Amino acid sequence: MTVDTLHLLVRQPIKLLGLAGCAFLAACGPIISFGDDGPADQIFGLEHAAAPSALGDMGTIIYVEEPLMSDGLGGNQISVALADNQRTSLQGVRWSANSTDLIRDYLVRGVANAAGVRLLGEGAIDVQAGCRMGVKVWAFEFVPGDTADDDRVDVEIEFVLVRYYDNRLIGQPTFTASPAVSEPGGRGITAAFDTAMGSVSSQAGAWLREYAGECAL
Amino acid sequence: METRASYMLVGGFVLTFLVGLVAFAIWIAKVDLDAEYTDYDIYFEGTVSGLLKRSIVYYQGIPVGDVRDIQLAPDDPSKVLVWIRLKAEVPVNQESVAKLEFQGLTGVAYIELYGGTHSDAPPLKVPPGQERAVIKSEASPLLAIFESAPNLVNEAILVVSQVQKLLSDKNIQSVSGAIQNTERLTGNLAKGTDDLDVIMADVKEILAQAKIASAQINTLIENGNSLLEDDAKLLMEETTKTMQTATALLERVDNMVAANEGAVTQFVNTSLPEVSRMILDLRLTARNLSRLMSRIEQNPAEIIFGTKEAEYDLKSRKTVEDDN
Repeated sequence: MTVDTLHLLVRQPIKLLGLAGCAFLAACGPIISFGDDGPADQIFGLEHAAAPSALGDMGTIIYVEEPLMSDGLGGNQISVALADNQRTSLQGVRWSANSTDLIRDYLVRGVANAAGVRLLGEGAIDVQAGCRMGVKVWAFEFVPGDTADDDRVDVEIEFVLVRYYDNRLIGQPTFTASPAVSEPGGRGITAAFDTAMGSVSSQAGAWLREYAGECAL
Repeated sequence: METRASYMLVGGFVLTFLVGLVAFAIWIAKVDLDAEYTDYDIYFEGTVSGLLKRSIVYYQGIPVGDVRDIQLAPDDPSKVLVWIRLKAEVPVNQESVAKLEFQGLTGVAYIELYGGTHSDAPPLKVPPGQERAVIKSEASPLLAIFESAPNLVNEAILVVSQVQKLLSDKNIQSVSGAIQNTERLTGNLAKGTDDLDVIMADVKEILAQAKIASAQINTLIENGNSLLEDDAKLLMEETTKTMQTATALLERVDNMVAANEGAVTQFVNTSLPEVSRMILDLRLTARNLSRLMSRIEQNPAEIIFGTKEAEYDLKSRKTVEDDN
């Protein structure tokens, strides 16, 4: 590079910045995805079918914390449990949001309807509640079988109910559900997840109904 | 020649002689034909040793009757029934009491009657089913003494035995030794008079020092009093001011708390739980950040360029490598 060239670059900073920008974009090529030629991913949500309960007991409010997920279960990917404890994710199918948010929203609506109490999740952190309910997700995964008829999903969720004013542990049950996948493909798998979450919510709601009095305000 | 006797004269003489003889016998026997008597029964508890038939019955030291019979009580063998006969003029009523007394130490017993001097006391009546009225009885003190005499003798023998033991040769030697020791002690005391003088001198010196110490203590107390009266007053004044200031400060704090009670209550009821939840969320965030930092430390390129992992293909039902 000659002295004249340097003088030219110093005098024309816009051109210099342009060159630097082009070099940066070239370096970030692997980060920025420009798409490929394959088919687009299928995106599914996890939503409780029933309408939100309007008759929940206002004197019993429980705050549902963000679920704690085991490694590999979080994120938008649908976790797949293979043999020998091998884990991977499902190709071409993913959740519409982070799975922790989906599970939390589902439980807030499903358990509240089953228990007849008012559960609050994200967005209600400043509401006075009688108890908090911790959620630990031990299993939330698709388990392929030898054939498509043997496919199923596993959901195992532990609930920790703690009363606020004395930090007393009221209960710590774990509920599981393993429904079969009714039809092959992403739609069938996510429908099985819906079924599993509905079963777990019903079990948790029945349990919570018994202890809801401990959380009265 | 045949003597002509006057049978009438002889018979009269004989009759007169016999009547005189009977009168003489009655006079000799002191039979009081006009006298009237009353019989009584007395029940004594225990023995009546020394009492015999014909024993005299006295009333206030005067013989007024005698014992007619002595036998065991028909219904209680532990009692003795004594039948006495008294002159009718003897004042016997329900207050009368009979005691068995003894004349000296000879053991001759008699019955002494007491009481009955109150004329208004009810007279004795014959109980139903009995022949005679019953006079109450009391145990005689002398009888108690006589009864306990054997025990007294035994006790006396025991005492003599104990005294003999006490005055054994061994004890006498011990007493002699004690007396000798006492003599020795008094002798030593007499010899130690000089030492006692020294001790007394020391005691005097100690007392003198104690007197000086007492004077010093008095001075100390006086100084303490002046300190309390002067400096302590200042100290108390300062303390009072401090307490007043503290009281005013507490009142201000109290007023401030009272004025903000609602806000404080709201903070406790709403904000504290919110803070608690926020802390939980911050813990979760911190955990995720820690995990992210670990991954960056281990493989920074994974964060920027992602990981190459196999995905599960539903159509082929097997894992395939990610081409991205």
